[in-house]
Amino acid sequence: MLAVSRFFVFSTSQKCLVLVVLSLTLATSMLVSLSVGGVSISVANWLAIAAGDASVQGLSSVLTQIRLPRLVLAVMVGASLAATGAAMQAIFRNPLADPGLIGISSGAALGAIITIVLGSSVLGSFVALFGLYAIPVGAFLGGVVVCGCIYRLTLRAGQFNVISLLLAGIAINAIVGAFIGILTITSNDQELRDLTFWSMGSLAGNTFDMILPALIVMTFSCASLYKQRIALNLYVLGEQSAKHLGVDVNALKKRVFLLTACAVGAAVALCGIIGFVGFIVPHIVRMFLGPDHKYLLPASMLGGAILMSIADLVSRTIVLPSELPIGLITSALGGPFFLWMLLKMQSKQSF
Amino acid sequence: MINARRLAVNVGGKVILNEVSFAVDAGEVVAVVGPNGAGKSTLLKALCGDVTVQSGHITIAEKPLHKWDLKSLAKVRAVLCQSYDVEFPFLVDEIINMASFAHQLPLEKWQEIVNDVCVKLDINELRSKSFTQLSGGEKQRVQFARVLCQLQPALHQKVPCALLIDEPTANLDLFHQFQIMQLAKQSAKQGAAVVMVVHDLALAASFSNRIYLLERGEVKASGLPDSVLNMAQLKQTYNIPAELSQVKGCLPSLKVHQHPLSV
Repeated sequence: MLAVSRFFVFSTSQKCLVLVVLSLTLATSMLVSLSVGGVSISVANWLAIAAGDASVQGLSSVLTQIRLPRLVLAVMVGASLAATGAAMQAIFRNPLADPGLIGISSGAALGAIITIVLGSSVLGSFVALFGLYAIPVGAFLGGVVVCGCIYRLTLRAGQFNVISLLLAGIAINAIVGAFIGILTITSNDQELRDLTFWSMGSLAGNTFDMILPALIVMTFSCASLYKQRIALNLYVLGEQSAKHLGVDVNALKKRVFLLTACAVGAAVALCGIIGFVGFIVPHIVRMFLGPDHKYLLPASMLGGAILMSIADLVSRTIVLPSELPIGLITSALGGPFFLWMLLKMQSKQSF
Repeated sequence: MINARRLAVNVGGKVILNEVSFAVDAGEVVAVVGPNGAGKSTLLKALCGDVTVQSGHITIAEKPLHKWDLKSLAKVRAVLCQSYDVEFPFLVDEIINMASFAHQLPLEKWQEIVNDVCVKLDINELRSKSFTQLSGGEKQRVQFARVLCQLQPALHQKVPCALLIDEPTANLDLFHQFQIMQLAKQSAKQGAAVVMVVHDLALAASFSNRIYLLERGEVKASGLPDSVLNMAQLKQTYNIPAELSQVKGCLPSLKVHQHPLSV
């Protein structure tokens, strides 16, 4: 039995209260994240900025041009990763599933790395065409191509089968790993630096111009996933049972898969692979609120956003004036959590 | 209600069903029996549209199965599969309420249906528990409750409907076996066409109007329980010398003659 037990059984109004508390926590963590950093912004400074005082113009531009876009990106990436994680776990009917698992993240990473390494030579015209957006578009295309491949592979086998999807994901992760290795070896020093930092996951260096398209994609994906909440609940009963209750399961799977590709592709495009958020957050939420996607999805989005805004704060401030890639922080937290979950399940299965 | 003509199902070159014709009318309980691997569950899946049928065709309420959309079908047809495990800790109440997906019913009306069914199956004390913590038999009763709830709106509106259940008594004690059979029979009396796959021949004879006996993908006999479950047929199909025995005032039971292999 893979199920995680529930700590609490909340009533509907208590669940709504939890959502409110999460929203307030998110607002607080965002405010703290905006105030703290290389230069800190005090309450007096906040008031001055709000009043449009010219003396704090420097602070104001730090706030609106550096911290705010970065924070908004962190929040949306966290929400998207957590929401797609929750949806993937329902589709796989396995609480250990994660968008990284089926190869979407690494596919997007490959797309970005190809653009970084080959951008000055073979792919010169591609980079010229997309300019600022070349790497994000490359990453996005990589993610979508991988999704297409996995989807085709699973269709070949006849019915859309979850096990073959998982296995295809493993194969694609391996192929992508090999390609990334080859490209790493052939890259020059500057390319190598870009590549390494990016592949560890980082939110740095993004402006509003750059993140706007991704924000739209992620918002749309999250909203569309939320619309599937009841169908996802029924899907957990099993594919046949969901069908017998009136859910068009094939359409549901295709939709969830595509939305995940969009959201994860967009997230990886801008900040590299940030692992485990899609795994940890829905898990913790499920322990408190239960598996009902009506609450699980919004609470996961909020939780993911909180986790990412705090992780980003830590990554910016822990080794000042330098910064730690955020992907390292989430993996350092997520890896042990994953192992702990596995051990817990093993001990449950043994009797 | 459900009509199937000359169904053939092959899986990986192996013939699972061969020229099987099947019919069930509103108001009757039809049992499908047969040895392991006879194709009983596959027949049920074919009637649900869950397996690809190589030839033959199926109608539900006179309309070809492939022309039904899933939601309309879910309003008039409920299915209990053999696998009912759920990997996430939904509450029993949440599981049962999933049956309301296809129906557009006011909440109070739906709650009334659920309360009624839960009383009938005496699972009221399970409703606030986590499904994953129930025993096998309890899980099965809860899933049966969900399926029964799904069918209630159609039964109340006297719309032709069907209940298909695959081994509904597999993990149950004697009392709950009878309870579930009784409720299936009651649904038929209210107007549903009930198809059930069962292993227990005595239960099949006690609660069904007609029986289909399947062996190696073919219908070997069909008709009234007495006529199907006779000594010659059971000897041939199960290699057990047995026959139905009917004692006045009791449900039919299986009288097994001493087996030639027994010591």
